[in-house]
Amino acid sequence: MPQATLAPAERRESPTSAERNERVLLFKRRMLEWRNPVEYVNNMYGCHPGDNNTEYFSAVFGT
Amino acid sequence: MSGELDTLFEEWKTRVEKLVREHTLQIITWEATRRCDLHCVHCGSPSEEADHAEELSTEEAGGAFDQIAHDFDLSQFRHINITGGEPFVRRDLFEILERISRWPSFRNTDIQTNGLALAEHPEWLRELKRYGVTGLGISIDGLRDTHDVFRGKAGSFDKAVEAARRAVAEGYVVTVSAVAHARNVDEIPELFAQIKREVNPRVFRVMTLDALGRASSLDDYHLSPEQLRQVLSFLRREYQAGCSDYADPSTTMVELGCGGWLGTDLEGTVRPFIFHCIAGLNNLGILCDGKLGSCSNIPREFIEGDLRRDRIIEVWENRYRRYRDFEWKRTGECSQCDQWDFCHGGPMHKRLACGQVDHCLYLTARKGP
Repeated sequence: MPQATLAPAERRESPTSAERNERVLLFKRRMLEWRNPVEYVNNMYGCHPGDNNTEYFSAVFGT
Repeated sequence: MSGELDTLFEEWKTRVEKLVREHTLQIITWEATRRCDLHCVHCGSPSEEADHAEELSTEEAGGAFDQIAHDFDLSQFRHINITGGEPFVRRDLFEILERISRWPSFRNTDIQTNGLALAEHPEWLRELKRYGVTGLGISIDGLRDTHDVFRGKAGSFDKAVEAARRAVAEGYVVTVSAVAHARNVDEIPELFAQIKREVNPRVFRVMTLDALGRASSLDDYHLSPEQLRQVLSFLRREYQAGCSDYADPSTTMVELGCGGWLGTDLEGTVRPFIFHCIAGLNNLGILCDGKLGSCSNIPREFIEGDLRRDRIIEVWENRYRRYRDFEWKRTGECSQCDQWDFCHGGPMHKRLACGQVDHCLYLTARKGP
């Protein structure tokens, strides 16, 4: 009964997958809204974007 | 794209256009030297292309930063990125760093290194902090055997890992960068797992091999479209699994480096930022011989000045038209591309002197195998 075996797993995984996709989209929107459009690119070799070096991360990826 | 994302991309683009108009200096990339203590197969900035006798002296290098501090508005300045060659082969590097660090605006200096010198001189990690160095980028291009063959030196992998581990322990923001190519692409996921486990850097960056320097003659090393999609799938998987924790500075992020625009659908879903090349927009490039460009990887055809002859701010304000007026790049594959309004031709280091783009990631990922 392959379908019976797969269905519960899909049910368990799909909320997580949906939530994950939702978070990715939320973070993407925040990246697009960040005041300096190249803030991270400016810092990609040192990785301390934002006026206090980390605020980009808390603003984009924070809860 | 959804209607909301369409609107956000339009607003983002407007901010990019404002940035271009204002072109306020925010980052300096200084190619400290082309000399190196290794001879990597795929090096994009090889020592044989440079005349080392022309390298900036201690006084010239330090004086360039003094001049910039005097002349430029540095109110939005972010950081100095020191590249090579191998920066630590410059015996006067610390002296120059000390001079740079006298200027309060020059904060967050970062150094890109192969890690050999830092593994052999771990005490330097404490000294570098005194001069405002906060970030270290260490290149590791495959698992141990692959990396050592590429570097042409046995033991270089272990030293790079050791340097990265010590730098993390000392509190530096550490980026481990791997160049993905046809001969190591299958190792990237395992390399990431090992680096995350043994080093725990802030960033694990994947760069795609560009046709620069020695790599320009390595046709069989370039990623096929299928291999590029393999890299993007890996990044997408790891980014989406981990991005919820990226606000925590102890988390290792994955990113694709500045190899190019990926399209509005993929941008912001495989790396923690939306890409736009900053060369000449807010990034000034100073090459080892004092030539002025927009980052250290720009073809020499796009050099716009020479600090031995020109005032840097005069070059920045008046000669960077090719970096800020994108229309001349709207040719070949770019002329019909539906992404032009957002990428404006992509990274300058992939722009050939004839105007054509070399290996656009967005278009390559859409090609057959």
